[in-house]
Amino acid sequence: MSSPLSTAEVQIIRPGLQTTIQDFGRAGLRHKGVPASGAADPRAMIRANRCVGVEDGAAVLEFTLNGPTLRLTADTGFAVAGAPCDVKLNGRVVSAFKGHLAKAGSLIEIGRITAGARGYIAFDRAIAAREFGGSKSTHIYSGLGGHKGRALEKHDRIKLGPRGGTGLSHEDSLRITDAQILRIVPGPEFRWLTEKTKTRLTRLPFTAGTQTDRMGTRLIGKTLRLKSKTPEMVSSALLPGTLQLPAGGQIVLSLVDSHCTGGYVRAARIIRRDLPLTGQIKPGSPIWFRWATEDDA
Amino acid sequence: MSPYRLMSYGDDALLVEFEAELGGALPMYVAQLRETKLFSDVIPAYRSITVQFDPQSASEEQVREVITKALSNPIKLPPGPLIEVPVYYNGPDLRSAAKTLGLKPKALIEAHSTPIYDVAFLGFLPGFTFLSGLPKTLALPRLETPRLRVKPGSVGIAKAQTGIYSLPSPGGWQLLGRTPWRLFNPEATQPFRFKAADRLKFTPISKAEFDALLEHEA
Repeated sequence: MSSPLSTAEVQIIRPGLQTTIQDFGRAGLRHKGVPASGAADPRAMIRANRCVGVEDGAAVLEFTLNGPTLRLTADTGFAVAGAPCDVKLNGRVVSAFKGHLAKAGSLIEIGRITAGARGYIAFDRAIAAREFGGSKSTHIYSGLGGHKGRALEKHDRIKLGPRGGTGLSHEDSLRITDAQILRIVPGPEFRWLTEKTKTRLTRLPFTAGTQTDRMGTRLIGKTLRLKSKTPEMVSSALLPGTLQLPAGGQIVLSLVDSHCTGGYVRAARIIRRDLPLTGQIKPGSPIWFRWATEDDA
Repeated sequence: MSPYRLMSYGDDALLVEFEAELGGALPMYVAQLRETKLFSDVIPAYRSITVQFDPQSASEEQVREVITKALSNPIKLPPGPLIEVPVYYNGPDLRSAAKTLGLKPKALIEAHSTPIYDVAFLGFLPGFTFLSGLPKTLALPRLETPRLRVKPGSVGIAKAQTGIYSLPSPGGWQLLGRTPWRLFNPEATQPFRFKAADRLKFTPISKAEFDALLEHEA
């Protein structure tokens, strides 16, 4: 006897540090003030989805540093991919980057991430969530998408659709480390950096500060300076992956959920290919920037 | 049109920066850039337009050419509708702002509610409405310490800009008042109350009128 569809759900036993529903995000709405959001590390999300045989951009649960504990009320295929961490199915350790069948009533426990910051749980059933701009991605700041527009909390119950997908399989794992080397190109206001600062940008290490989330991260490093005749900035577009340089001299790196406009000098920007790496930055991560070459694009 | 410079903003975006504010002409350039169908987003601001493209399908050189051509030929748009926006001018910074400007609060309210503003662009957070047309005499510095929570609908001034907060958020603008209107409702078929090129005029209202018209949840 199969249980009625309405009972297929994920119950949140323990939410973890910050677990949200994400997909590829809502691109193309920044002119309305709506950031794209979406999985902070889409590479990992795609692999989780492929392990359960669903579309690359199907909605997943993104967890941060410390994973959640979930109960599934119906037979469901699931996979975990991303930063390394323990995954247990009914108390037994199972592999990440691999699809598994969780029988009705199963408990999935995700442990603490040991390197990097984020991982993804994919199901072979669609996750029911708020949609906006064609995406279920949660943007906590404006309450868009996801489960009530917020991170998951204890006792939340998220409805799941019927089982689908082309079957369970496995994917190569990603090598995720704490340290990140990010390739950059000069930003629109690069010319206002002092010569010394231009050099320091790619020669010195930075560390992600404690204020690190999906909006952005404040980096700690040697003070960077703007030329004294730098003109006052007028509000202008801000894109994810921008190294902003406020007067204080410490970089603020904008990430997937960042505001759509800003008023700081945009010193440089991370190239498109390296943006997924920013999703693995956690407080204390060592960060190096290097100039992208023609071949990197 | 105002002279501009074209700068790269990463490997998938270009920034057009104008020497002066375009005001009501900005949406015409934005419309023409959208018309090229080359961009995943066209993001206007007071003095700039940022476009995002897919570097796999077009080179930066090609994109630069398309932009130059598009900007030489803005789409003529009729003026947007004139919308009278009710504002209860009783903001936490009204008195200090008036003092800074050397005006009585009543005179500041009158000066702020007389002009017809253009909606220059939406930005920052969903639905935040940036207006152009603030009289130069009403420019005010940003707060030295931003507020942790500004109420949605708050109408404020920061430097030469005036605008309306759409969602509860931190903010450093000096707040003169608040509109009871909700600017962003994700569940509605038209989630955004205003769009670029709309023309707004503020109508001062009383506390009683504000309460009667209130659409915000908090």
